Amino acid sequence: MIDITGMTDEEVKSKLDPSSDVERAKELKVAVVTIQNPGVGKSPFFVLAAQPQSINMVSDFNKDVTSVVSSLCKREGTASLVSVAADGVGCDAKFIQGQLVSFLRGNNNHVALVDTNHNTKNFRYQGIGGSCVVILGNHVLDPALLPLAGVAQELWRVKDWASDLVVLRLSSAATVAKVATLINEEAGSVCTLCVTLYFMRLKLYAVNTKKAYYRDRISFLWASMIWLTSFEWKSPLGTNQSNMTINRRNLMTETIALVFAMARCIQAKVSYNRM
Amino acid sequence: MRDSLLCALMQVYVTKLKGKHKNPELPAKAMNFFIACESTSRKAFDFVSANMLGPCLRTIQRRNATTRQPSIICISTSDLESRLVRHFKTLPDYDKSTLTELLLDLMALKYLQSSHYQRALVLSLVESTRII
Repeated sequence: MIDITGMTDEEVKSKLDPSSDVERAKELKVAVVTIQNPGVGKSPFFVLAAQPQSINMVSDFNKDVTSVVSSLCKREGTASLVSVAADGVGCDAKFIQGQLVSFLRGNNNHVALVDTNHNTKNFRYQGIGGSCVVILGNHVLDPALLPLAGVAQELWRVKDWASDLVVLRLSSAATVAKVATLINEEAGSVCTLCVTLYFMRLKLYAVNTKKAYYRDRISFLWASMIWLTSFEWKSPLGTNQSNMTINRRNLMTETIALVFAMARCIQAKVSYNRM
Repeated sequence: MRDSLLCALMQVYVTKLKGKHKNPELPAKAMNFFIACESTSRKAFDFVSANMLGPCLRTIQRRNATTRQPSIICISTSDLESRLVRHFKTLPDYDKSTLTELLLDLMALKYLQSSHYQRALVLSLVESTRII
């Protein structure tokens, strides 16, 4: 924030002008605490703190906020921190991995994961985005089958990559039913696309549903993880954007962490473990 | 049904219908509705409030000012703790075991605006955000 105490209207206006010399932050990193069973009439979400920063800036913000929440929960005794979730950007990857390794070594009481909805959305860059050729055995995950099957264009030529609803519609029973009618296309590719969409949806269901039993959730997540990390890829570009290594890392982090978090939250709402 | 938003809005409407009670105490549900409406869109609030005989804009602004908290980007470690403890204590079931998660996400900042409350220039996520 820039203090404007004592400034005249004109000075404030000149600062607000797009051509002013004020250096602006590009992003705001927000830390939100979610509380399971907050009680009737209380929101489960609470915005705790935020940090203005440049794009994907590496800082100690994650570590500091996590440490404060974790130590407070320990001290209060009645609250406990179950998980820390971030999106799949590279600047948070090291923090997430560090926290998860700490948990597995028994030093932390909370897991850390990459958010499931982000992971599923990110999978589309390779899956249907066409940044690389995604192969499963002898078959190709062929996104061209989607327009052939008459699937709505906004689902496979994505404009809003941040929307959860677009992913849900893409990996819906209606889309799979449409693709499955393509009997004149190569059967292996049609099956690969249908099963991939099925597992994408299964993964989202495992985390977002309010009704499933925790053992079922873990089974669904693990099965989805095995399928979605089994692809090979070929790319003539060879850039980071066109391979699935980052996706695999995020999927693995998420699955390992959620297995523990779900087992711990047997009586609680697992669906709050997401953004 | 009597506790519903619909009944609360009807109560506001009927109370002010004859013009005798110009500034009645509004039911909490109706007030929350109008505050949410104002924070979403000022134009929508004007339209809804005028047609449903709701509170004026200044009433909403006064109400918001009483519950305003310090900026979330200017807090120290001790402030973080006290903020969290204060929130925990408002929870009715806090005495029982409470499970919490921490979510960290990035949002793009686009607009530079002046905040009269903070006496500062701040960056906001959306153009329509009004910081008063």
